[in-house]
Amino acid sequence: MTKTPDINIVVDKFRAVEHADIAINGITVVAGENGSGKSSISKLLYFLYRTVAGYDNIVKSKLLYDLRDVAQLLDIMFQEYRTSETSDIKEGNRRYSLTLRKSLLESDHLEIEVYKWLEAINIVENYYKDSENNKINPIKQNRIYRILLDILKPKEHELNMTESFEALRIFVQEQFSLAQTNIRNRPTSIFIEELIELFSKEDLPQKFEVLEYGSPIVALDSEQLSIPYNIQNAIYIDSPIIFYGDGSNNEHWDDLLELMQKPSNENSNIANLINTEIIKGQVTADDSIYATEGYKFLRNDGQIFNLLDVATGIKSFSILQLLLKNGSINEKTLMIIDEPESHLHPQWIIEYARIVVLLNKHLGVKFFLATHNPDMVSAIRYISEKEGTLEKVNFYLAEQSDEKFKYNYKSLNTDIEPIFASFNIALERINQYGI
Amino acid sequence: MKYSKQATVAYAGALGKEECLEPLNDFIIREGYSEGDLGFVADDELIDMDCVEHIIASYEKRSPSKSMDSSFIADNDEVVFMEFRFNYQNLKNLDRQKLIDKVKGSTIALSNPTNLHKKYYFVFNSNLKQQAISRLNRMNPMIPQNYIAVDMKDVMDLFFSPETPSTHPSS
Repeated sequence: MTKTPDINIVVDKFRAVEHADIAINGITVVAGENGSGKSSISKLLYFLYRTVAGYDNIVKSKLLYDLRDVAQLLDIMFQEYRTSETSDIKEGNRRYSLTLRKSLLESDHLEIEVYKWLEAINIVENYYKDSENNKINPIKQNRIYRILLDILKPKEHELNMTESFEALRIFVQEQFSLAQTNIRNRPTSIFIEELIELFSKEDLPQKFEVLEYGSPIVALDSEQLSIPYNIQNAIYIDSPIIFYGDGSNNEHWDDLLELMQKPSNENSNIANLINTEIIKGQVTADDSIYATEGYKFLRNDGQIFNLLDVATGIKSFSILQLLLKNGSINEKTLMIIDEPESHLHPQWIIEYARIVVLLNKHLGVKFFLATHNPDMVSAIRYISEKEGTLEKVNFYLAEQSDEKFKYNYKSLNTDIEPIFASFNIALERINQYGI
Repeated sequence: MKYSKQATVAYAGALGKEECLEPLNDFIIREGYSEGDLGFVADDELIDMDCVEHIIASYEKRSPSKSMDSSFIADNDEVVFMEFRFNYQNLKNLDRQKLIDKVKGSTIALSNPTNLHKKYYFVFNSNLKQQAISRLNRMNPMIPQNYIAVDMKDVMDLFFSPETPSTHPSS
């Protein structure tokens, strides 16, 4: 009996992908022409696991977004509160909404957080009503009233102040209640919203399904997202240029940069191997306002460089080294890497492949690699065989379907010949020039 | 251009190396071929170039030089060299200089024939052929373009089948 794959990704009719049924057991390598949909699958996979693994956080972020105007109103009112009280209390008030927001994102108990928000509304309502002491003058009162109405957008009748604050409390309670329901039920719609943000509504896959041990855990047409077991976090690397990418508006770059800035205190054999055998040095991430300027490359001869100034190949390995040292990579991690060979000398392509195989073998890290490079394909194939992990390696080739610009992903298991046949077309072309 | 048994046997005779003739089917099995019967004629024979080189080396009291595995004569009287690389390790050990030395050694063993076919064939298992093509083409320094990686199906199509399909490597 054929062993059921740990993970199966099924994609139908999505951009250039006509059909793909891709297994991830350890290392999955996908090859194919430019424009055959490899990166589209990579992104789909990344944002899926980003959503399902960070589901609660996404719901909380959405909740915070929906409460953004309420938070701003609280900020305004605390600022407007003219008081005779001590500056310490004023400082406390200024931080009130910031603390609320931070606490919401970090909390696992929204049922507690909602009361903090309601309490804050009570406080500002009392400030507002405290006109006897003239804490807020009438002009400012009117402004706040207008803001309240803007948030609540009452349809049927104009609310008075008391009604407005009551309506605001109900609004906040409803938003929290919706978020709690979403966390409880894990509706697929949250993931679909993420995809629409990424790809646009017309561009969603006709079918997208993820199976774990043969059982569906995610399907666009099912109501709920299951909790994955095998993969708990995904990391997407598509270019070592990321170090220049602060403020790039690329969500996956922002995610990766944030991950790389986590403090490093893990002792990793493979990070050490990257240091001693490959890049001859190590990278550190300093605390810095400008994160990308905070990376230093400490070469083993004692020289220190800004990482932005070192060879791009060193940056490629630095990403892995940093993630290993700060414990971001473990047996539940899916590393999605687009063209890992980019910017690497052929010798380092082999070393990169070796690191991938060793991470899979020793840490159980899973990989989804999209590549155009024969040495990368060969090295993954033969180093895995040598390390005794070939049974967890799967190769795929995107082959053009009957329809132009559409591709089917053919499973090759461990046979890399068809990938080489496709690469060798280039050699035939070169030979035509008699070189 | 096709294999000629008559010319091959005659050439071995002219070299005085009839003992180096060996049926093709036996030859490739001895070299590790295991991909099934492609329909080669049972009594078609190749010249074992290692055998030729050993006889010459023994006569000249020297160590044998590197040589291609086999040769045969085509129906246009050209000498065709073929090296069999059916084992996985043979892909791993593709060394540019060794391949060049093999061609050189066998060319000398045949006294630098003027009718040597312009392409030298290196025959791999079909599940390694494309990788071999890639490796040969990407050697640095580049190996001459007339060093060709093929599989036994290509050999059959090129030299042993009645008609040459248009898709195989050109002969």
